[in-house]
Amino acid sequence: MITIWNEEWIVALLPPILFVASQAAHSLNNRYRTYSTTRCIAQITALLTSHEEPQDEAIRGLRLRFSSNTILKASIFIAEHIYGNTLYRLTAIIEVCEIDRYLLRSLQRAQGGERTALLSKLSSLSNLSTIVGFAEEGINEARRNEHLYSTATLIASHPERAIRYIAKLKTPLSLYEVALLTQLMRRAGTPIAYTPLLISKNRNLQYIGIYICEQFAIIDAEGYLQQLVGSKDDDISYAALHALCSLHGDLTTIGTTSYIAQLSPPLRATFIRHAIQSCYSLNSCAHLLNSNERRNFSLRIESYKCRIICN
Amino acid sequence: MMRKIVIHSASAELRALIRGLLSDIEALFIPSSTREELFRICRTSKCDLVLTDDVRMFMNGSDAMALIRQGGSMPQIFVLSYDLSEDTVSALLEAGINQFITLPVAPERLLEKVASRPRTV
Repeated sequence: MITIWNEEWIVALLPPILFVASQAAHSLNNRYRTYSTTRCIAQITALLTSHEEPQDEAIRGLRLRFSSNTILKASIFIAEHIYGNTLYRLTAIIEVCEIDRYLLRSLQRAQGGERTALLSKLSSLSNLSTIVGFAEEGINEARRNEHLYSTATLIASHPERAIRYIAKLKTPLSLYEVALLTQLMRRAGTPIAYTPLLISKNRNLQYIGIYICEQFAIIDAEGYLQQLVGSKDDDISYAALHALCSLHGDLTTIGTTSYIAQLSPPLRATFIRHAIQSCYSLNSCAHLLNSNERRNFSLRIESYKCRIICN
Repeated sequence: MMRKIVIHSASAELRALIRGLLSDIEALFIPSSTREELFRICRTSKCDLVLTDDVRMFMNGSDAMALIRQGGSMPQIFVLSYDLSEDTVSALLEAGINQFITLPVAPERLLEKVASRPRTV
């Protein structure tokens, strides 16, 4: 009789069996976590939408049923998907369940990217008194991301001081970061006055001012934007030109024309594409373009027309 | 008859959140995690409202819309999305959706929009 289960077979089969088993365990673990987070979200939402103010005992019940990490995940998910007065109840839930303290303990242990990720989570959970002190320490951090997300956390906690915090930033903001900080300010309902931002000497505040003008289509800001086109900072100049174009502003001024003339070829191509998307006609842009660009301009307009008709 | 509301999303967390936010409405909530499941639900049970976060479903012509509104059933379709670009919103409206709701959403507003929709006859 042939012995099938000899040693070689077992050794050969062991790695794939272990691999399949580990994958199955990993998948089961993920499913359990999702199930647990989903249940936690459902229970927190029930507390948020209840007609009476939730009692502390009911909130503490969450702690008995779910781990701190699960409540943290669920809270962040909810905070990222809803806004308005309901978030104040969520803040109460986080404080009663001591999730903010749990997050701070995790932050003290974490390093590098993990620390940045935790700080970005803090900025989702606004209005927590315990985290403000911690974020104020983080604002002096040398590392760029920690510094930025500490600022984001502070803006989420005290939106009325947002401009002051942004003015303290030592590093130039990117467009994504400007969008993130503006979103935090909007979520808190902070009234945003664009004029002081645009005339500020601070580069980051100017960038935020330009972004606000573009996003909210503030046509009255055209004069300020014209002044910013051709400023010393290349990013600011181009952002101002982009915003001006989005607002369908005047591109025939001397400052704008000379700035467009000195743009690098890739930026020039991007600008032309944006001008077409903003519905500028060939006649209004003809003085800015050479013969080749004029031809491309009219061809691109035709292609956009075709896309609009075919859609 | 009780309203039937289908909540379609690949994310179980989002389904739970929307279900929780709409708990004040007296309706039968049917969760759906895949498109196939959504089309099957729409075919077998006449639902009144479909809430979905799947924008891409409506981006390749009117196939999805025809599958949702098949057999004479005309459910309202509300799309929730973070994508606010003009192209996306206009494409969705042209595809025939009834409401485009931006995320993050105000719970009161979502409740008001869903509650105010009349039942499909």
